[in-house]
This record gives sequence, C-alpha cells and structure tokens, in this order.
Amino acid sequence: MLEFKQIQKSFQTVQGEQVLFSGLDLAIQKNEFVTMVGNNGAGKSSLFKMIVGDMQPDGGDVLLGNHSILSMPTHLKKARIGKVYQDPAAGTIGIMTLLENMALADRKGERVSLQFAIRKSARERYGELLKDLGLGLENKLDTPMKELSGGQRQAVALVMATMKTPQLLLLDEHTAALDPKTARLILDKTQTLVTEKGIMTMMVTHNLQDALSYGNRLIMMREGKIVEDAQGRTRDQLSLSHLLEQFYTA
Amino acid sequence: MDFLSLLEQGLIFGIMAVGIVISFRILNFPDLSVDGSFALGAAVSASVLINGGSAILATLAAIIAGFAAGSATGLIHAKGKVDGILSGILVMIGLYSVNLRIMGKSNIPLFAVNHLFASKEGSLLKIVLIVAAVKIVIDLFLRTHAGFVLRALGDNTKVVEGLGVNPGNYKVLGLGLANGLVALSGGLMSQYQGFADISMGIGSLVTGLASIILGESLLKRFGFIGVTTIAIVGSVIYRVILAMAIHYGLQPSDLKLVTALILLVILILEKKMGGKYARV
Repeated sequence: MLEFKQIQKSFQTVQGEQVLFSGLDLAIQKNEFVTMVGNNGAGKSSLFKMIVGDMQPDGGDVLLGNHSILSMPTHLKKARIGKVYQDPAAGTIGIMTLLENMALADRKGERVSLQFAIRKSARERYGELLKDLGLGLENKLDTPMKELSGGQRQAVALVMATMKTPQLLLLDEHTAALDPKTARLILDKTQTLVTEKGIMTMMVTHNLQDALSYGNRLIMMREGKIVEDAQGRTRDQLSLSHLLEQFYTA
Repeated sequence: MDFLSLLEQGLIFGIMAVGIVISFRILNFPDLSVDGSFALGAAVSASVLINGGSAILATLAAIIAGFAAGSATGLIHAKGKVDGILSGILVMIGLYSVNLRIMGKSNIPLFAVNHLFASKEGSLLKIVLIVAAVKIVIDLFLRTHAGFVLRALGDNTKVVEGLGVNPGNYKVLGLGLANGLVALSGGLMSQYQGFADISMGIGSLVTGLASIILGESLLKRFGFIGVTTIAIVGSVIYRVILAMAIHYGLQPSDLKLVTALILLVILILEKKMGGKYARV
C-alpha cells in the first residue's frame, strides 16, 4: 500500500506563499492501477516527486508498505520503485546495447558485484520478454539503445522497469512523446504487464480517454486537491464528457 | 629514432591513457587530477625504492596512492557537490605539495637502486606483460556488474539510481580506478627513465587525451575495437609522432605546444567531420 498522510506543501513565489497541498490524504492499494489526470500545477508531479525523494513535503508523511519513505536514501527507495519517464531517452542507457540494458535491469536492487553482468541464458530469457512486445526487438539485442526509435526505447524502458516486479510503478506521461499508434501499443503492454504481475501503479496522463480506458481507478486533481476519485462501477460509468466538464470547471 | 624505446614509452603511457579512458570516456567525467596523480605515482614509487622497498612494492604503492587521489576527487565531487572540473583541479594542485613532501626534494635519481628496469635487458618483455595484464583486467572488469554500472553512470545517472545503486559511490570508485592506473603509469615511467621529478605530470592529461583521440580516429573505422586497445595503440602512435617532431628539428621543450596543437587540430577536424569521436 502507498499512503500519503496529511501532506502539506507550499512554495514561495513572487506573489507570496502559494499553498499546493493543505493536508492531502490518499491511499492506494496493491493491485490498483491508478490513472491520474489534472491540469498543470494540480499536484500530480509533486506527488511523484515526493515518492522518489526529489521533493520533501513541509508536513505529513509518505508510506510505502507501512514504512515511511521520506527519509530513506534515494537509491534505496528507487530500488523498490519502477519509473518510466516522458522522455524515452531517460529510462535506458543509450550507449549500451539492448542486451546490456536488460542485464542491468535484471540486477536491480542487487548488491553490485564483480560477477559478469550478463548471466548465462540471459539472451534467450530477454529475447522472450521482448518478443511479447511484437516490435521485433528480440533481434536487436546487440544494438545500442540510442539507435532504437523513441517507441522502441520506451517499450524497453517499460520492460526494464517491471522486470524485477517493483512494489510501485510510476508512469509519468510515459506515452506523451509517442505517436498515437505506438502510444496505444505501450499502453496496452503496460496494462498487461501491470495486471499480470499485480503491480501497484500510478500513471499520470493528459489524455482523458486513456485515463478512462486503462487502469482500474481514476483520480482527478485540481489545485492540490482530489476532485474525482472513481473506481469499480462508478468508474465504469464515468463518461469522457463528464470528465471534460470537470476538467474545465475552475 | 630509437623505435624500441618509443614503443616502450608508448606502452607505459598507454596505461595512463587507459586510466583517462575510464574517467573521460566511460564515466564522462572531466578529471583534471591526472597531472597530479601521474607525478604522485612517480613520487611514491621513487621514495619506496630509495627507502629500500622492492620494485614490486614500489609499483603497488603507486597504484594505491593514485587510487586514493582519484577517490579524493570523486568524494569532493560526489559528497561535497563541487563541480567536476574544479574537484580535479583542487586535487591536482594539492598533490603538487603532497608529492614534494613525499619526495623531500624535487628530483630523486634512481640509478643507485634496484628497480624494474635497472637493467635495460628484457625491459620490453616486462612492459608488454604489465600492459597486457592491465588490459585484460580492465576489459574483464568492464564486463562485470560493477563495470556495467560505471559505463551506465557516464550516460544516465538517474537510471543507475533507479537500479538501487548510489551513483556517488561508483563515481568515487571509477575515479579511484582511473587514477590508480595513471599513477601506475607514473611509477613505471620513473623507474624506466631512472628518476622521479616533481614536474613529471605536467601535461600528462592532454597527452593522454591526444593519444585516445588519435587512437579513436585511427582505429574506430575498423569496426568494434575495445577502449583499452584504442588507448594503448593511440599512445604508442602518439610517441612516434612526437619523436618525428624532434627528428625534424623541434626542441623537447616544444613538445607540450606540439601536443596542444595536435589535440586542437584533431578536435576541430573531428567536429567538422561529424564530431563522432571528439567527446572531451
């Protein structure tokens, strides 16, 4: 379970103090795939930053699996979290080959050692994992990542982020930089992976239709508050027009 | 021209170039402490020798001292959050005093003591064996989990952190390793030339970079060749070029300018031709 408890956060701006969160509470359960929408500045990214440690709240606590993670060293925290960024280049190592990238992801959370990085039979195993994507990546294992297309890189980043089944998966507009067809493919793959492995997931998106079509819980934020939180049947009955209406209510 | 001694010198400086490949190419870190750690290797090795230590001990001590110096640069940068270039400069300047302290004077002759190259007999074989050992160890290391982490660090720190690895610790390790090799090269060079001098390190970084870029532009077109080979071969070719410059009438004191100009010309040419290798 991921829990935000009584989160307080304000920023100093030229207009004086700007309050973003004044006691935000949010709990996300295992097996939940939450899609998060809201305009810029609503607080979605800030929540992500507080989870990975790029931002500290002024008050309150963030708990992952019943333990506060606010004071945990960033790299230890990240060992338990998978993240896919908007920029396809951000989630993989461009100068290393696809095989080498997969080998690194395969050792996520392990103590760094002097064992050879690529295990026996790794090639076959990674090939199988990549084959599922249907992008022909299993034949490009020796290609440097930077020579792959944005969509291919993002697909690999997704596979890498979920390879060692993280406690929490954060998707930060991870399809925003892709063409519609590739975006759909990545989203479908995301849904399959997350459901199969039962990974607790938060996905920020600006595409309201995607937010409705994927995942099993929808949260809409505005000015640091949760204005819509729908799951189960309620969510099934949500319509795009209703969401749009909500979205444009200031 | 004495090609044998050019080859020997080129190989010894090749170890330094391998160290610089690790900091500049693999870690993508502009480590300027190299000039200091090369001289440190010479200073430590010479002072162990004149105090009665064996050649092996002297050489190992040089590696350890270099590792410590590189780690210091890494710590200043990773833990002290000081800019990379500045971290290296601080260590380089500090090492000048440290080296003088270690040596006690600015020049230590090694003619009276026994060391690796006390007799010129078989020196090429010894050098080839040492360089081959360095190359094999580093090549193998780069294929390990830790080696992969260093390579990844030079490209994307966030991904490394995402793997649950503290990036700072591995920057420290990588810079330690790089400067350990640079100091090994300095220690060997002092024994090879028969003296250690406080000014030995001046310009070694630029020399090493010139060797690497030379190696890259000559060898990369032959398909995949490892970074260690590029550094070592580039270093030997570079020695030959310097020797030719002297052969055609330049003074040894002109060589630093020659080095700077060679590096400049290669950098500009590479940028013009797509900038494929000119990543300094």
